[in-house]
Amino acid sequence: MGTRIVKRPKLSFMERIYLGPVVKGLGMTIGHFFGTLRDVFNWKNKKTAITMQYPEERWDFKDNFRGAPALVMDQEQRGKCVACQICEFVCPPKAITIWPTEFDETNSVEKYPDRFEIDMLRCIYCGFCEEACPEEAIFLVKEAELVHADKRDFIHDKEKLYEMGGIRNDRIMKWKNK
Amino acid sequence: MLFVDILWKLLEIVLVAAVALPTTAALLVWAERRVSAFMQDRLGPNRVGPAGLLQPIADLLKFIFKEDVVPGHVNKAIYILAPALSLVPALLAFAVVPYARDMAILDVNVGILYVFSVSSIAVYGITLGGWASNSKYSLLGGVRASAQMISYELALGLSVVPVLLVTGETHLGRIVEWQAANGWLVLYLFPAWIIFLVSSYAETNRLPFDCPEAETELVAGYHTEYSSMKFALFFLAEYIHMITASALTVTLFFGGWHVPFFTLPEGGWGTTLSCLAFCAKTGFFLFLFIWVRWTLPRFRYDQLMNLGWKILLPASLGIIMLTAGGVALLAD
Amino acid sequence: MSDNGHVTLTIDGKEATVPAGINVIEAAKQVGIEVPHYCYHPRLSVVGNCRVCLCEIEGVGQLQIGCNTLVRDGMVVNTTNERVSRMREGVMEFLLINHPLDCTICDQAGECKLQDYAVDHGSGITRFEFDKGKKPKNISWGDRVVFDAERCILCTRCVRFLDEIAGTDEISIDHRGEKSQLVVRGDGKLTSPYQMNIIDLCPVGALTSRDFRFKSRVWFMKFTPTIDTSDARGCNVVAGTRDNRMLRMVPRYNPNVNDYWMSDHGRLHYAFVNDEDRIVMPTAGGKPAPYPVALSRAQAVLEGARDEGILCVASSYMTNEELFALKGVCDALGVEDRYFLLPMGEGDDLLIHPEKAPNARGCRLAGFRDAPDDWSSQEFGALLYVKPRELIELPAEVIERCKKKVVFSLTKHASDVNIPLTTWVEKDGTMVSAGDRVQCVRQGMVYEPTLLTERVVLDRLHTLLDPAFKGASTAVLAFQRMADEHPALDGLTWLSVGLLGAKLNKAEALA
Repeated sequence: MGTRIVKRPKLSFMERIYLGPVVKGLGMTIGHFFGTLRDVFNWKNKKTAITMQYPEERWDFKDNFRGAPALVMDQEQRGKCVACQICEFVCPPKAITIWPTEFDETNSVEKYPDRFEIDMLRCIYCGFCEEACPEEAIFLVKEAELVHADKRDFIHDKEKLYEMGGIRNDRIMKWKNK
Repeated sequence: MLFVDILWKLLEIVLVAAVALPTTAALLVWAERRVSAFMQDRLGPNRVGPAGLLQPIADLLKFIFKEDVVPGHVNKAIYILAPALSLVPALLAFAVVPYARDMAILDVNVGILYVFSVSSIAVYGITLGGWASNSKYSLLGGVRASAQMISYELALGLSVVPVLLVTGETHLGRIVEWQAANGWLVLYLFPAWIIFLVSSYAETNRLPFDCPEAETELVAGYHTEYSSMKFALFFLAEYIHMITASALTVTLFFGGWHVPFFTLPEGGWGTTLSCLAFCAKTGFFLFLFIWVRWTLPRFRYDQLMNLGWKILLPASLGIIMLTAGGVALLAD
Repeated sequence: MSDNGHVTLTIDGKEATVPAGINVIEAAKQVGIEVPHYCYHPRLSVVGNCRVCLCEIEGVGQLQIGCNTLVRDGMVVNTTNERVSRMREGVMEFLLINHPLDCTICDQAGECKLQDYAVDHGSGITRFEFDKGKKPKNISWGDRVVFDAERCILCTRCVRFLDEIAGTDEISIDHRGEKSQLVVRGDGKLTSPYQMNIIDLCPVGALTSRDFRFKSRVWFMKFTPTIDTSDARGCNVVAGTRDNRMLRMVPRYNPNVNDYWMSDHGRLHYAFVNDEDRIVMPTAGGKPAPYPVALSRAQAVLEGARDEGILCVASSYMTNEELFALKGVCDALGVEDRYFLLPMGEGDDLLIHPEKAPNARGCRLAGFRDAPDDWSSQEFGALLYVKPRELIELPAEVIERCKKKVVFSLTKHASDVNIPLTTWVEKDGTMVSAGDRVQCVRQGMVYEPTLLTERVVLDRLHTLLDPAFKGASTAVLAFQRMADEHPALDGLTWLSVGLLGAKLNKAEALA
């Protein structure tokens, strides 16, 4: 039951001495060798798919790329986050921490994050925060190269998050009409 | 021997053993990385210096500044001795190779025997390194290395016997001279060359026969526990072994310093040209080493042993018989 | 079929025998069926203005509101059928027409009936294409309650509570129709000492607590059933904590003590729990010392003063288990002078009790005497003092008359050995509230992981003084040991005390 006997193919003499396939293989690698060599000297008209030369050439990320999460402002420079803490709740690795606070009574939004921190050492780029955000305030931007010399720099604070997120137009401007 | 002669010999030894071979080995490392990259549609190390040529120096600096870890569980004396023991035979074997017309560091009658006796010591470096590391991966690597090298030494040695039969010489310089006079031996002994080539790959632990350091099975084989310059010595030894093996192939089968269809002028220029010819041929075989490595996958250990004992050994014996018969017939 | 004032009816196919005179919502509750409702509350009068509890009564043409329909014998009620759920969907749609999408900033989110019923009974979409009605938001009704008129669904629970229960009648509805809005009479500020109950009563987020405002979303919090320790009433509460800090208290239903309510004073009485100045490590001779070091120092101090006499002063904020542990220490040392401190204050006839500490009865039970008004000028060799967390202290001259001092306190106190106190949300235990009612407090947080509760500390001290003594490993076992020893607690177990408490054996307690 469950056992299937696979018959090994019977090799001919030429196959058994390997030399033919070995030479064929050698031919293939040397073909690539000279192909790349030619392209190195004629870089503009590359024919082979030479790998991307990273720091000079970079990916053009698609719009749905999931990079680092960031906070955005609307076209009137208002930080959209109202500190509802749903992203903090939904975040699987608990990377997000929010300290909400209150606007003065003249502001219809009432609530905003006093501090908003995302620990990028914990973040797993799952995008749940973006998915869950009821205010469309948090987005995963195309920022994928996070390199810091100090671990503490990986904790993105509110200023850094707003700087990364920039401005996104809001069609509804819900709080403005309150 | 005159004092000047001794001095000249010493200078030659230093030039070859301490300058030429390590430099070639370093360049070989660079070449290996670039060639492999090109074969895989990459560019390889091209940042340090022009075309990345200074990469070996960067590597060397890195090796020097790495922490030299000596694990607590090793047999210290042998552990430290092993890398040297692995490097020295590779350098020694090169001594008798005639790298230019009438030029060899060591001029001995029994050159071939010397080569085999010296290079068979190399197995100690690897085996002892693996044993002294006192770790299972290292030990397995060492055991595999000894088994593999002893098995293939047989085929290697037997594949050279036809050369001796045909030329009637054991002096490497005179073997080359025979070839210069009668044509390259590869034309006479093509099958023997194939066996020699395959065995030399196994002897130098290069792919497709790098079972002693098979990463997927043994982490890094016999040098798992080595770091910093000790590891660098193992690394260097492997590449110098490659150079020696290529040089021997050239010497034994491809006419050594001989340039076909061209008469080398007498004197210094002729010697220089012969040296360049030798280097060019050796260079091709070094390239072949790299080329094969990045083309063929690793043999399974039992396949390796099958090939050595059941195919190469009988085949080389058969070639010896045929050659002996042929030599006997033609001699009459 | 009616007998002993009971009637039998059928609700959603289930036959139920319930007391006569209750309404359909309560009858359905008894057979495990929840009829949604906003304006109905068991302790408030029925107004029937939210219309969400509409049920089908067979034989009656129109759907009837469950809150205002009394059960009759042989009644057949449907609470979930097609007709009822379509009607409910319609009612929900009406309620949500002018309700703002404030859930993101609304403290009620997560415990909001409007959210719950919108999910359970709503249609999920709106057909209302016009601008929503606008009303004032973020109005301060005094320093405890914040009102948001847009979120209000005009159920009038708050109006009825202040009128019928608190008796101050401060809120009414102004304007008509779509413009209807709650207003506070007079200067617009609430005055009732029970005003914060309307925050719990409010089924939506129209009334929120100034104190709890934006501190935490409810889904992050841990809720622990315990009691309020601001006075001897011992109102049953649920303590909400997050990250080991106390954030709020809301009343928990207990018909024998506080019903659904509690006073604002008790509700807001927890700031000392989160106080940053609390000590978290014992000190011996002014230097921080681990518990074993501090306790052996305390042992030396107390044993050294045995001949000169020791004064032991307990606090009426301690649990019974702690008091009995202290009693054990006193017995081991042969202490004669055992007193406890009890702060007194104003009371009223609803829930506020004049004794401003929860466990004076427990102190008496453990054999501690009420502190005298005028302390004698007797000198003592040592003082073993559990300092009350607030309101009252041992007079300074009494402390001075003691040569050495071992003090348990919440914040730093000058003494030879100073041991940190824990608050009631950090430990399990029992207290004897007004009406000789034994009630449990339960651990809901840990202020600092290194802290030990007083019961453990006192038991260890007891073991140092008398190596034959072994303390109970948990508060439950300590209570059991106590109940076995003391006649007033005879027959009580941790389980029988449970969530709602149990009466002390009165006659024994007085004896």
